[in-house]
Amino acid sequence: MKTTVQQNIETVTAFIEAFWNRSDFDCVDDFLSADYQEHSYQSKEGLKQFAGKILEAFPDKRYSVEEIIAQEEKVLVRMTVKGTHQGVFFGHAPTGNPIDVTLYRQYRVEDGKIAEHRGWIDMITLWSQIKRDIA
Amino acid sequence: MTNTEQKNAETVIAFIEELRQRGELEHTDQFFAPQIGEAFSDRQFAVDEIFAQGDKVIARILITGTHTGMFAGHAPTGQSAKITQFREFRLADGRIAEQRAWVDTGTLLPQIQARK
Repeated sequence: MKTTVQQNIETVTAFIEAFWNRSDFDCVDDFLSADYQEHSYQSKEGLKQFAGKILEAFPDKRYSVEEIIAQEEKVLVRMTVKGTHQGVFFGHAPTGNPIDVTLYRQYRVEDGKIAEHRGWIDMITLWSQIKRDIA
Repeated sequence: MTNTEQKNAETVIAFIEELRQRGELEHTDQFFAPQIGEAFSDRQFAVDEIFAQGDKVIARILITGTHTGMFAGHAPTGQSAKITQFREFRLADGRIAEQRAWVDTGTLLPQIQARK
């Protein structure tokens, strides 16, 4: 039998794959709890809107989980996002530059549903990759 | 947490304190990291959360400081800033065998951008 910690890791991994990689934004209805708390994008809707903007700016984006650790109901993930700047990103016209940025996300899983999320990303590195002139 | 995980977490907390005393706690591999010590004064450190699973330990550290120097092209604002750092460790036989550190700038930049 799987432990709760293992199940929580699987839930978070499956959510990242469906939401961030397959861009199946409606999967929030399956993965997130009714009382989901979003600390980085305000709300479930805010999360979907942000992911939509990222998809527009980096249509080939790919998230890879590099490290995952779980304790009780919490799961912490380190990942990278790679892609090409092909659309407007926060007012910056597409440059065609590749990006490769590290981010962390912390989740709380309750009864198999993700109930809370907070994220951190290295924006200085991301901006330096977008703004650099590689032509 | 198992006994080993508990001990590993304690080892890491002691090591973090050592890094703080040596003035090395803000060191990371990010290209802008050397500026952190110059840009933020009166730095205080707190371990906000610690994860231990198997031979891994990850600490989430909160650095609080005052933005009194140039940072990544941003002129000093005199604002107080909270910086999140993740420090990851792998332990072998109770000793630290590997570590990596990373500092978040996504939540830092909005705190130090000049008010428009």
